[in-house]
Amino acid sequence: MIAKEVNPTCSPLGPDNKLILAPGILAGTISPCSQRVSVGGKSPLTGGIKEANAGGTSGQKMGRLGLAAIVLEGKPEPGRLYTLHVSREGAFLEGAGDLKGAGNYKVAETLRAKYGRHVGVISIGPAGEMLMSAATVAMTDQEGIPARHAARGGLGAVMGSKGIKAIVIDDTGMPKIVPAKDQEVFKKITKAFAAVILERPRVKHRLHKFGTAGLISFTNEVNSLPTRNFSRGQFEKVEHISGEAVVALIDARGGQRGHSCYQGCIVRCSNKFMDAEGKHLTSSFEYETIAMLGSNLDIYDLDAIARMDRLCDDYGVDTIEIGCAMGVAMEANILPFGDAARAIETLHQVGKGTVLGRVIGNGAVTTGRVFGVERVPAIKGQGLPAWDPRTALATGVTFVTSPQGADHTAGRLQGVMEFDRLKPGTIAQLSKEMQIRACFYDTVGLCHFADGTPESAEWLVKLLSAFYGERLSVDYGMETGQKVLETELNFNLAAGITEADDRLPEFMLKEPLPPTNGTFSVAREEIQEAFAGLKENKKS
Amino acid sequence: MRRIDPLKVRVKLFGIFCDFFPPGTKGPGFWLEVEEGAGLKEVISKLKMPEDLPKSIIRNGRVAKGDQPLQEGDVIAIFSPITGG
Repeated sequence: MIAKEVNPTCSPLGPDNKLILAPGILAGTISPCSQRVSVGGKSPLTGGIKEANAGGTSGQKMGRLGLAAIVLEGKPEPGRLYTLHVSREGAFLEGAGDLKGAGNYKVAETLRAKYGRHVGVISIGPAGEMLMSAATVAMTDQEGIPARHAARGGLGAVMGSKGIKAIVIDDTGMPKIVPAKDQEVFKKITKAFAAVILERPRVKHRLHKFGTAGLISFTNEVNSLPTRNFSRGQFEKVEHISGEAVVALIDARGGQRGHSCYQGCIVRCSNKFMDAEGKHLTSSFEYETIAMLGSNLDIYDLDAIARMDRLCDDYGVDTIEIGCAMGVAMEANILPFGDAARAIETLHQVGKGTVLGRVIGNGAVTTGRVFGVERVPAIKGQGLPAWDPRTALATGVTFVTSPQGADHTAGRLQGVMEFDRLKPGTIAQLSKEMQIRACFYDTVGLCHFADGTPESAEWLVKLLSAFYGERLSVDYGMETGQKVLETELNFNLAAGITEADDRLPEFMLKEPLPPTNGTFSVAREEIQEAFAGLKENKKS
Repeated sequence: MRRIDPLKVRVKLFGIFCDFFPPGTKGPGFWLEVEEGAGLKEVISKLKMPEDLPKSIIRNGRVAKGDQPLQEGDVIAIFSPITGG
């Protein structure tokens, strides 16, 4: 829709951009892990197409309401801010009132008190109202906590530019289950696919028990954990911020793990992290956040990192982009590396919109420009996630080539293969396949934690066949994914993003990564060859 | 008679593998003595880990390959198969 209806050269915060919130094709059905909301538009951070998705309860509810998408277009009069309410009766706008300037926690609480604790709340915090390029679109989980975010690329600012503070999704009166055309077959495939997902060791042994935080020790071990603004791939104090440390505190303080963000999720990867007094501090405490606000900033106090996660959720900013921006600010000595109290104080400034807060809230590139820092970890304007490409080579190719900019969910190699001795000449091809598969999953609304092997795409095709009552070919998944990826690439071309932008930050090309001196050894020619043919001007 | 000295390798256990710390050791890493010529199989059996429990093994920062003989000072890290986000 963005490709068809949005001019690629439009101003991202202007009236011609659109913000699209779409549940997946299987939203509301019993299909496992299929309830995510995909948010799309032109990104104020990258200047290109942006797809960011989130879990929580809204996707399932939008599916039950039979919504293909909610589209926000145009622009209100200056200063106007609204709440949108969507239900089986239709949709209406009302003035946001004293939700103006409110954090996402207050927005969620207020709207659930007003419209019922069952509603899903999609909202922006003050960062989105202030049109910051690291602003997120937040979505509530089952407890009504605004813990899930369509975070990357500043779509919260687009929502803010459209004058929408929050969207209430009220599925009262709708059947709980959206049936497939061939529901009996659908049920059988769902059951079988769910059994496969549950048996996967990464679900059984890792995600249920440690969540994504379980990855910190691993990434550190393979020298890919961003440390002090991507200057090192291993963090000396990693055992203070590992998944093992997180889980120990969760258990000791009466928190929760094996928690699900929507009703019925079988993976249950999320958690609730309590403070030292046993009060709720943040949900869910994730790998990317712990790395980017922890090791990347030389901070190893988990409570401080959790506090920053809470603030990011409340102010509505991307923990990855903020982590990159803060790392750049620390490199510039604006605040010291390792100073958790100053980092928290700086985040408060983001929420208040001070000049420093607005600089940080607009991401790593802006921060680097303002303070004259050359070591800025960003590609196509978007800050790098917690995988150093000088050791995570296939993920690095994704960062370099993805139309999303540096984006780890755009296509990451599952399993340890990434850190194996991958054959030169095959790495770029792997990234391309991963990206195509990710585009397919995002179209269906599948959580990537239901993925594990290329066979997951085949399971999805079987599910879609039963859903539509049509026999879809086994290649349907990859064909769909490829069409989506090509559409995105062509939008970007028209927006002025070219192959010249497919490159690592210069400092990463010049500095081998200590302590193992990893370098991004994938040749430019290999990347060009693998992705040739995707970028030709094809009609979408 | 040629004397064969044991090697010392550094073992780190993570996630569910924390259950296999030798009694009296604390995480995340400890030194383990193995015989010269020993491979990963011997480490796994010394720690009484089920062979069929799925694991990702990282040796000196890279995926461990096959059952090559261990060297003095090798760092062996054992994880559940991975994912992230």
